[in-house]
Amino acid sequence: MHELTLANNILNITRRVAQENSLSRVTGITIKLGIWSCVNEESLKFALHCIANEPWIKGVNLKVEKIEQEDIIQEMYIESIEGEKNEDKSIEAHS
Amino acid sequence: MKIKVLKPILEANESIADEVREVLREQGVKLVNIIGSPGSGKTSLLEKTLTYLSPEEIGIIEGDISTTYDAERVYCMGAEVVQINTQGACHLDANMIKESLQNLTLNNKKIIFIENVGNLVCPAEFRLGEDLRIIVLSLTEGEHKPLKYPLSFKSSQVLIINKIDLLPHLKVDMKGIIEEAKKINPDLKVFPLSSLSGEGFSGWIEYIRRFIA
Ligand SMILES: Nc1nc2c(ncn2[C@@H]2O[C@H](COP(=O)(O)OP(=O)(O)OP(=O)(O)O)[C@@H](O)[C@H]2O)c(=O)[nH]1
Ligand SMILES: [Mg+2]
Repeated sequence: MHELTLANNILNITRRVAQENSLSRVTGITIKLGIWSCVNEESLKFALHCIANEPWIKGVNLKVEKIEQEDIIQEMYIESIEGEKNEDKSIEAHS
Repeated sequence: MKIKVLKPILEANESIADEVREVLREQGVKLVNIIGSPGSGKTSLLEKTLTYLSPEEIGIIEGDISTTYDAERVYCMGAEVVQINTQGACHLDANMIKESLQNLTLNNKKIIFIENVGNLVCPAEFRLGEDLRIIVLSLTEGEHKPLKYPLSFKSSQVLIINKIDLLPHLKVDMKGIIEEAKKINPDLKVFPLSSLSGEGFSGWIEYIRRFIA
């Protein structure tokens, strides 16, 4: 039920990192979740799909990987993002 | 091109939780986050607990999707209460706690209890800056809750098994629940009790007194 909150946080961090790296488009996001995290992957993908509708991120592919470690309790982080650089078309210009 | 990010998804929440923790540490106030299913007895536990402690040293933050019923119940027991209505959100986040602290007098308090929104899933993911997380499970909820909602049990330090006064009327295996919870979290402190009759309260009250001291 909290997947929309997570999707929002993912979108905000992605926007910031993309701007810092002068990306014009983000095509992929990889996140890692601890095995104890109670996040429904399909709901999260759906939530992100619903809110990521600006041109720079529309259609982004979200990859979810599990951290297979018993002692990691509350861990979820963005591992990496993939995108394209185009100095003339920074993200701010799009959104 | 690929860019390494390595940032917590909830970093915004985490950093506010750290702020909350810092503010309360300076004031010498402990923060307790109470989670559990709807109707497990979170408010009842607080009401009964207040009768054993000094209510003027206690602040309570009541989180509910809507209504102020629970806040009124604990206010009647003499504690200072702040109500948060989440307007549909299934959990409290650290920013709601930070804002609630503005409406509580901190300098005469020893402990603040937060009653989270009744839900065994979402609240577990959101740190509120608490020193202690308590999960309230009632016997009428049946077996295998620890295995069905592992994060809630894994991330808590105390398990209250509530409504033991009903044990004679139920077919529930309390020992099995405790074993299952301990398998997921061996360090979990377990207090079976009844928030109605007060049965089993002595161990819990001793624990919380020591925690405040
Ligand atoms: N028999 C029995 N009933 C209890 C006990 N504790 C709570 N109840 C009853 O269980 C019901 C729910 O209790 P609450 O304390 O309101 O539960 P809650 O977890 O605060 O519920 P929400 O805030 O709505 O999620 C009430 O009708 C209480 O009277 C108990 O130890 N024994
Ligand atoms: Mg309640």
